Amino acid sequence: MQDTLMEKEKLKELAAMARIAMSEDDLDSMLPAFEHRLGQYASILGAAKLFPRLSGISPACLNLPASATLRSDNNNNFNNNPVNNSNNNLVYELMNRAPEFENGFFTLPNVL
Amino acid sequence: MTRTVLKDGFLAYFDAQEARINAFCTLDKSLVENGNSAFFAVKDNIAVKGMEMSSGSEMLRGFVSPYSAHAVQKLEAAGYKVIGKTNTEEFGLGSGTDSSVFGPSHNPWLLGDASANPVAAECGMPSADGGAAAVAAGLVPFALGSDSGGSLRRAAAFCGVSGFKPTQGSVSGYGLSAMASSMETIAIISAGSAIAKEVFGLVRGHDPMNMQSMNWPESAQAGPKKMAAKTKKIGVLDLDALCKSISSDLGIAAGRLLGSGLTEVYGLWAEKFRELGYEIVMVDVPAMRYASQAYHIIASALTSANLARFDGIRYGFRDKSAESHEEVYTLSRRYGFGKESLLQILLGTHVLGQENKSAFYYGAEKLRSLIMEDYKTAFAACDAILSPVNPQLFYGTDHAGAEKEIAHDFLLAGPSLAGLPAVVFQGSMEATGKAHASKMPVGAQLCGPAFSDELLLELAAEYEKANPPAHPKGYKEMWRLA
Repeated sequence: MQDTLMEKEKLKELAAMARIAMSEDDLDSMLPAFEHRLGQYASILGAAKLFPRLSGISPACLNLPASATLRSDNNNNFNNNPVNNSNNNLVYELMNRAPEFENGFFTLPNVL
Repeated sequence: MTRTVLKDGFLAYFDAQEARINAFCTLDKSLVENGNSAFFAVKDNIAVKGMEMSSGSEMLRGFVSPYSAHAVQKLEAAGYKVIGKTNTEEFGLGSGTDSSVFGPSHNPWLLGDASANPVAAECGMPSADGGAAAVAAGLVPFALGSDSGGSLRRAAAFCGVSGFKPTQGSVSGYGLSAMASSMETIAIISAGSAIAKEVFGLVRGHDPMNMQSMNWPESAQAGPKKMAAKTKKIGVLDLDALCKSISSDLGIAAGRLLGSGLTEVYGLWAEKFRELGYEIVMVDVPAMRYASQAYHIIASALTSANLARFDGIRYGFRDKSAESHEEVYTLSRRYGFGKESLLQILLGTHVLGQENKSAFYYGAEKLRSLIMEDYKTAFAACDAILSPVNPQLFYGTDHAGAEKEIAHDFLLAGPSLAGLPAVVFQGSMEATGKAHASKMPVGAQLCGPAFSDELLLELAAEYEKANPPAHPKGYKEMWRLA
C-alpha cells in the first residue's frame, strides 16, 4: 500500500496535473480532508489484503449483467443527437454555449 | 399511464410549500395553470431540452441543454411534461444540497430553517435533495433523479418517500451529467413504489445513444408473476457482525458504526414482511464490509476523468481574469467547481496515478468483484435482501464524526458496485432522540438480483399498502391518481 501521508507539495502536483489553480491557502484547507479520505481508503484496502478470497480475483470494471448492445447502422438512431441531426443547427447550438467565441471559433487569450 | 387529478388550490399550495423548501431551481408552472396534470420533476443534472442544466454547479450555471435525456423523452412521449428542475448537490456528489449553487433545499419533515433546527442537526442531514423534498411535500407524484452510490436512496429515506435505483443499464444514462459512470443511473423518487413501477416501465429499454443501456429481457417481465407462485424468501443481514468488521478494518472503536435501536427496528420490518406471508432467512454478504471505500475510490477516479471535460473553453464557466490559455483551464476549474468536486478530482487524480492505480483503483475493482460474487451467493438463498439504509436510525445521529462521511455508505454502495436494483421506502417512523420528541421517517431498503426490479417494487408497494407511509406536518393531498 502506498503512503497515505500527503505533503502539501504533493497535493500541489496533483492540482497541477488536474489543471486546477490552487493557492497555498486552498492547499492548506484541502489537505486534512484529502488525508482523511485517503487514510480510509488505505485502511480498508490494507485490511482487505487479508481477506482470503482476494488473491487471484480479477478486477471488475463493468457490473452490467449483459453485454453492451451494438446499435444498427442507421441514421434514424441519432435523431436526438445534435451532432447527427442537421435540423438542430449544430454549429449555432454548440457555439452559442461557449463562454467566448468569434466568427465560428472558440476564443482564447493570445498564446504568444 | 398514471394521470393525476389536481384539487382546487394546488398552485397556491405549491407556491407556499416551495417557498419553504426551495426544492426547484427551474420552474414552468404554466403546465399546471393550463390544466396539464401529468407532470414530473427532473433533477438538475439531467438534460431537458430548453431548460437550464446547472448540475448544481457554478461551472454549468446558465447552461441550457440542446437535447433531452432518453428517459425524459420517453416520459414526454407518454404524455408527461416536465414542470421543472430540482436542486442537487454539485454534480450529484451527495444526498443533500449543501454544495448546490442555488443554496440548500429543506426537508419538509424539518419545518422552518433547517440549519437552525435541532432535529435536523440531530439527524445529521440539514439539507435535502430537491426531488425528494418536492415529492415528500406533495408537489409532484414523482421525479427523475440519479443514483451512483445511494445518494437518491438516502435522500428518499430522509424524506420518507420511495427511491428506486434500477438495474444498471436498464435505463439509458444518455442526458445524465457524467460523474461515476459505471455505477450511476437515472433513478426514480416517487410518492409510493407503485408509481415508481409504472414510471420504470416507461423509461427502461435500450437507447442507441447509450452503449451501456440494454433491452429489458423477456424473462424479467415474467419474474414477478413467476415469483408469486412460490413463497418468496427475504434475506436479512447480521448488521452487528458487519459493523464490527468495518470498525475493525478502519481501526475505530468496536461497534461504533451501529446505532442504538436500529437492530430492533430492522427486526420489526422483517416481522412485518413475515406477517405479509414471506419467509425470512439470514443471509451473508461478507465482502460488503469493503463496499463504502471501494465505491468511493472508484467514484473519485471516474469523477476526476468525467469532470476533465470542463475546461472553460467549449461550454460552462470561464474565469474572466485568465490571461493565458493555461489560466483559462486552471482558473476556470478552480472557481467553477465547488469544494467537494475539487476534492474528488484530486483524490481521483491520485488513485489513478501510475504509482497508485494498482493498489487503489484496481484494488477497489477487485473488491467490487468480491462483492458481486457474494451477492450472487446470497441470492441463491433468497429473492431479495432487506436492510436499513444507514447503519444508524438517522444519518450520523450517534456519531457525527468524520467517519460518517463515507463509512456509513456500505448498505447503499453494495448494490451500486454490483449494478443491482434496489428500492428504499418508509420502513417506520422513529423518535429522533431523547432531547426531541419529534419522529422522523426511517428508510428500509430491498435489493435484489439483476432485473428483479419489478419484484422489488411490488414487494415495497405491498409493504406500503399494509403500512401506509406518514407525511410531514403541513402536507396536504392536493392530487390523486386517476
